[in-house]
Amino acid sequence: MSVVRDLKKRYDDFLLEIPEMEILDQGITALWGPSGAGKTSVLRILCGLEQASSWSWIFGNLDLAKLSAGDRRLGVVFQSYDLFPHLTGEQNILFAAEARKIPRAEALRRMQSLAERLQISGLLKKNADVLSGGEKQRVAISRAMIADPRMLILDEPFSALDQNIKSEARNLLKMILKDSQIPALLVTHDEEDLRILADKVLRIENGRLLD
Amino acid sequence: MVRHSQSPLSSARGIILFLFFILPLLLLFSKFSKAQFVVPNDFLWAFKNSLLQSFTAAALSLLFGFFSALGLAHLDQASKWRRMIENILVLPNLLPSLFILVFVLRWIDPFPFGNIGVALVQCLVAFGFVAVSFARYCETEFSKWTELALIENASRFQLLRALWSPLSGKLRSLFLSVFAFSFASFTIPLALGGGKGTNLEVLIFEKIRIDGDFSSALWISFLQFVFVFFLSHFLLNQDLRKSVSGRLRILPSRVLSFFLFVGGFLFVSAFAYELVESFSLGWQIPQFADQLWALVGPSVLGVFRVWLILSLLFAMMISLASESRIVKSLTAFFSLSAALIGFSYFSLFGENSFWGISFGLSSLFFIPLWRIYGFESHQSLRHPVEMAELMGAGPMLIFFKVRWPLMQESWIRILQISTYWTLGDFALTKMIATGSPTLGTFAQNLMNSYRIHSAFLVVMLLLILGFFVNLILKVAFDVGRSRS
Repeated sequence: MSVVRDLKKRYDDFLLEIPEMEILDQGITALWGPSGAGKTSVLRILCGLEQASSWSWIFGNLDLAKLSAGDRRLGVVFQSYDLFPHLTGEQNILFAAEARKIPRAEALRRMQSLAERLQISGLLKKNADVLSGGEKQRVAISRAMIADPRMLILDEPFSALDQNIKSEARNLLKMILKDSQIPALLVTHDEEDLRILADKVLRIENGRLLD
Repeated sequence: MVRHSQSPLSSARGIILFLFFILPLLLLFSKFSKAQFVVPNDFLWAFKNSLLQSFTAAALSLLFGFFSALGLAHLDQASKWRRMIENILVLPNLLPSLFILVFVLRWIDPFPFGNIGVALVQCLVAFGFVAVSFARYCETEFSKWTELALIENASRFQLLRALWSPLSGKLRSLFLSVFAFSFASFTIPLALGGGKGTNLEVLIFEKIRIDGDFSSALWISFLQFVFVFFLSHFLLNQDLRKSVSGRLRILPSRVLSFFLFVGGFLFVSAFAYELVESFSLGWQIPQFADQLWALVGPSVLGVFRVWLILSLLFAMMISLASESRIVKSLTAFFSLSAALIGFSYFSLFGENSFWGISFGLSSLFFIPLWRIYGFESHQSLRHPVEMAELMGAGPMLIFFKVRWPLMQESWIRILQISTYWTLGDFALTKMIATGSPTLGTFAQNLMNSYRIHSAFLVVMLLLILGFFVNLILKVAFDVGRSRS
């Protein structure tokens, strides 16, 4: 279990205040709430994209809050997937491996393994900007996982997908997270995500966690 | 923001970049800081001329730009006609001033030298930019409202009245944009101001070159810098390349669109006529060709030097975070006197130094080109860079795998436009060099001696030369990109 404490940040007319938040170190913890509840703010602070003062995130014997974004070693899949448009699927995935200084041979081996499990072998040579939503999502998940992150953070990862492929995508994600044993924090407003994926649900509203 | 963006190395690069652009001012202050400031008698007169020229140019540009925008919006954004008219409209803004100068002197005879002539030519250069910018702004912001107004059967006047508040904000921003451009203009007032239209820039030039009064030149330049700096605070949203969301209804005018086509046709016809005429008359001067050939080499080398310096500046700029204050300050507020830059590099490198000219031109060109081609793309780097930093990528990896590949199109555009501006420059070159060391200065000398046909021919050759130099650049770039 990793614990976030004293997370507090004031925006213009909004106060985010979370005295304590426990995230599972196995399986999927969902942060669930309506639009404007503060989910994205929590995610951005956890990732290190926004700063908050005097908070902590104890993960094992480390306080991740004191580390820079890169040093937190998180894997992130944003709502819009944010693949580099000028790179191919393969280059996108290998970029993450290079960033973590994983030797090339090892990176290729991991990529092949992920590509088989996520069924993206045929997409690796294609430029990211020509991939469909579902294909982008799978490449983005591979990219987030290749460097063996401490935790995967998923920001509404299914919201950009058509209804008919959402269910398949959820099952695929569940399977791969189970195989890899990487804990995940899923940020979502969709109750179907909770039903299929969540091992623990944290409900957030108006910047506060509800019991 | 991710912490990496604030690294000390990044701050150091930002400071170096800022120092490069402020260097001319620092250099001259260090030399003449003890000089007492006495307002020259002609300062207020030149200031009044600057205001008059800039105000008239901005007002006329807004007037013509507004109506041209309504004509432009009549054409579908994706159509080739729209692209063609847009290209013709922004062309004077991108071509060297020399081209416009020779063109107007040929076609407006007698030319009204002085404040009116300067304002007219500045309007000619700027109104197309206003038109394209305003049309795209309206299409981005108002297309949905105009559809609603169409359904509700509103008239054009009713719609304009309803939209006046946001429209006036954009118009004010465009007015100030043209005003600031005209206020700091050097080349056009130098060539067309005559005795009556001396603006502050030309006054600085005269103080240095004719009177040798460096301290007055420095103080005038400093006051002008401060004036333009504060003026720039009011400039917002000057982007030409905003994403377009839909088609305007009601506002566009078929009649104005027709006039745009007629204007475009006349412009292209006059251009073609001049070209043929100049070729037939220009070559009659026997020594002409030899002199031209001798200037091609130094001119092209000048372009390569400017490319090198601009590329370094560009690399430093894109290595900074998009939200960096230095990037935003340089882009929004920075405008130094061309005369001051010229003199500063003259004093640093000495007379007739080609490197002095190249550094001067680069520091003069970089910011306006960055505003048009670099700034918006750089702003869109924020998210990919954040993503890369989240993955733990270091600054070098991010630079070579993310920043540079995503910005290289902007880099090429900047170099391509700088080719024409460098080849066509005569004003700054004359601050540093004597005689006619480049094609641009040669053309201006011909123009000064009223050999307008020959001047036009040189300008045309200069454009053709620029085209071929840019072609080589593009081919090399494409080959390099396909190999990587």
